[in-house]
Amino acid sequence: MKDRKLIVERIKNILIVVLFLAAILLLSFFGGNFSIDDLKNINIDLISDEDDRYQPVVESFINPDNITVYFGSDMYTVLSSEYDIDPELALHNVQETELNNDSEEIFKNAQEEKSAEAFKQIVAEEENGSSSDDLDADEPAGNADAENQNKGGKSTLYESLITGMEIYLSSSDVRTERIEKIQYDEVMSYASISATFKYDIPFKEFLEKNRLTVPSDSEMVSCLTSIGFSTASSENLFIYDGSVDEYYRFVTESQEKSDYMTDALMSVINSIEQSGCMTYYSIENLAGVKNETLIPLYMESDLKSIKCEKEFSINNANAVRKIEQAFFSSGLDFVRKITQNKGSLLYMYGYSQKVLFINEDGSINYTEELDPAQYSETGFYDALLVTTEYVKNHGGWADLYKNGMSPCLTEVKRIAQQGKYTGYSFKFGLMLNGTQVEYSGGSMLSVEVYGSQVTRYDRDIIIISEENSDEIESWMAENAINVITDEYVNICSILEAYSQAKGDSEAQEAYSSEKKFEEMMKRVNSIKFCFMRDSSRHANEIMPVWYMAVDGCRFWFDPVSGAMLGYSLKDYEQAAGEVS
Amino acid sequence: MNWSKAKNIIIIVLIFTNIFIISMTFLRYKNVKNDDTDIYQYTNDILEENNIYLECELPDPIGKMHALTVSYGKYDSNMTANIMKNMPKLSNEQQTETGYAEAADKYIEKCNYMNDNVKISSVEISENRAVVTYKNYYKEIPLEECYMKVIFENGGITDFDRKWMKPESEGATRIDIMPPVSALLNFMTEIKEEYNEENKININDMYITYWIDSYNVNDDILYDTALPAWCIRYNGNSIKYISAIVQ
Repeated sequence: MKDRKLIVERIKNILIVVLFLAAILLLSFFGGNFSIDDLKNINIDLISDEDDRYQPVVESFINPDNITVYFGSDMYTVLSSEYDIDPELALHNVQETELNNDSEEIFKNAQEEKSAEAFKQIVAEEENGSSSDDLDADEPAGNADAENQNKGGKSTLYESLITGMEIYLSSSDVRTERIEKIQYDEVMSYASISATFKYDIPFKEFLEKNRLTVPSDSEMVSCLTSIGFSTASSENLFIYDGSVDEYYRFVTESQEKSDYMTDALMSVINSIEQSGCMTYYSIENLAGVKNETLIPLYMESDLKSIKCEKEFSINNANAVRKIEQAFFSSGLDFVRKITQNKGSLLYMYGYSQKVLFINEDGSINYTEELDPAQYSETGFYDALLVTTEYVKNHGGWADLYKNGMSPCLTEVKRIAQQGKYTGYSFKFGLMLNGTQVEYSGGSMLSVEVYGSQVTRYDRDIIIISEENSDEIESWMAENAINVITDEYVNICSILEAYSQAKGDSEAQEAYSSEKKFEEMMKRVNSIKFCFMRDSSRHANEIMPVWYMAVDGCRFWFDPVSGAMLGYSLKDYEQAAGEVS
Repeated sequence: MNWSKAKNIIIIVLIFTNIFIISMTFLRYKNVKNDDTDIYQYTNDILEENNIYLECELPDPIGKMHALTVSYGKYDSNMTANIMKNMPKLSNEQQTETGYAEAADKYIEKCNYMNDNVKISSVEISENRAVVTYKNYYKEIPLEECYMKVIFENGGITDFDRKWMKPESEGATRIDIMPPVSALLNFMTEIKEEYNEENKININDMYITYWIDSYNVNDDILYDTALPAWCIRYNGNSIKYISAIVQ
């Protein structure tokens, strides 16, 4: 009897297990085509690198390409936007004499960032007798000063210029006027400072983002490309709009402000001159042709060739997988993946709705069809925000901040599709300890954005190897004007052939004429000392070069011998010429 | 606790649960079948309104499939040419469909291209010329567009053409496949420029394939991905591939 009971219990146990398993199998069948395969390949990246989530603030990219200081007597210097000045010389926001009229303006300055209590505090301080006539530079009087104090005594020249703008823009009597280039050149031919951007920034957005007053009649100014201050005309703030090639001034009748700016500007300019900055001269002075482009008289440098490495290798399966996941977050199930003989990978989603190239050299190119349903027009800063966020999620920014590197915004263009959708194209370059790194072809990072959608993304990043941290002694580079003088025949013959190919007979004739040197010098857009990554020679090395842009074409030269190392013609960026 | 009674209860509950699941599955299957019939009729009506007529049997829905990673086989034309020279000519009596097929099979075997995935798709004979075409299959599903063509003239093999893909591996997960009725509606949308009231479209055949859009493909490719697509043959020789992926 007992044995029988035991057998029955065992049968029950087996029955329970069988029925339970059957229930599970039936449930999976009921769920519809469930397969163990579906459990495979679940990628859970539980821990993402802290670095991967870093996103720089948009404002950190909006910096002038250079700040030109004119001392007079045809002598200039060119400084970076990060050039520090003595905080005691920094410009301060000067309040106007009539407090009644100013209360609204004071509040306007305060309201963006401070509470109503802070506003009351500012007014109380003004009423309690730090007189607005007191223009002592040691006495803080504006927003920028508090920021300066918080920076441990450092202040950049650019920040001072921004404060200087507010001095004019916040004036109750400020008026906006268009001026001629000749007038602008005239005033800037005295001791002056100008900050020039490489791109045009919508003026109102720039003012709002920098918490500057927007004068009521400033709508005529579309974009800002450069900011200018002149000691000879210190009642004016000068703005150049490169998008329409127009010059403007913002005029204040306040004698106090004008006097203050004259003194402040002269102090800053004198201090810069005494600091021993490199002297620049215009091409007009050096070569006798009409061209305001500045060239340094001599170049002492401590730069050397530096080894670098690609951001990732296409042979690194984990790195490739991360990139795949970034661009195709829902997986590769619906994506056509092509592996080419040379190792590059091509991914296509839909009928080329999304196409991703991972090239064998570690660069990435991605395009996506514009989706009109997603489109909405956005401003400059919002588009840049979309861009920075996109880059954060597709490759990240962290690699661009290693070993002294930092990214910079080098080009902004307005773009359009189908005649009605407008967007922005942003190109980013690299700086290494304040020196620009140029690419012989393509750009380090470029993004095209329409509204909230990125339609194109190119990424070709090099990372400076840590081993290159050794310091070297300063050395003298060959004089830039000598380099150009020695190589101008070569340059002109290249430009002549290029002009012929483009069908530009006027330029072709100029470059082949007896006065080809002068003709070439007239057309020089920029000359600078920088790093060059010449992918046709040494893709994993950057070297110091003299770099010259003429008519949109670029040439680079050995800084010691002056020999031409290579060139890149506009619209033929991939076909950089190697000079043997 | 009386475990014996508890076990009895559990067994009864599990039996009822299984019965419930089975009946729900059956009902669902039956509804799907009915829905399918309604949808088919609806689709057919829409197609006919747009002058498109289905002259073949509609294939059954597939459910799920893997994508397929393939490699492109380059063939040694010198080797195939040498083997071609040594192949015997067919006599007049042997120049039949079967004869050509067997001769072509022997040739393909000698070239080392024959395997279980290779199947004859057609033998076209005209006057003194015959073309034996082979198609590529993976688990009974054709890979397109790839073929091998053995060309005969006057009984002898005179030419060989090969565009072939070799399946390397399946994709990681299975993809939901679009039902054939949906594919037909997509087909109608895609060829709407070709048809109007005068131009009648007769769909002769429809089947599932692994397909690579060879547009813009160059010879530098090592691996590619063949995705499921519905192949629709219409008006005789025209073919359209409709992506079968449900996203």
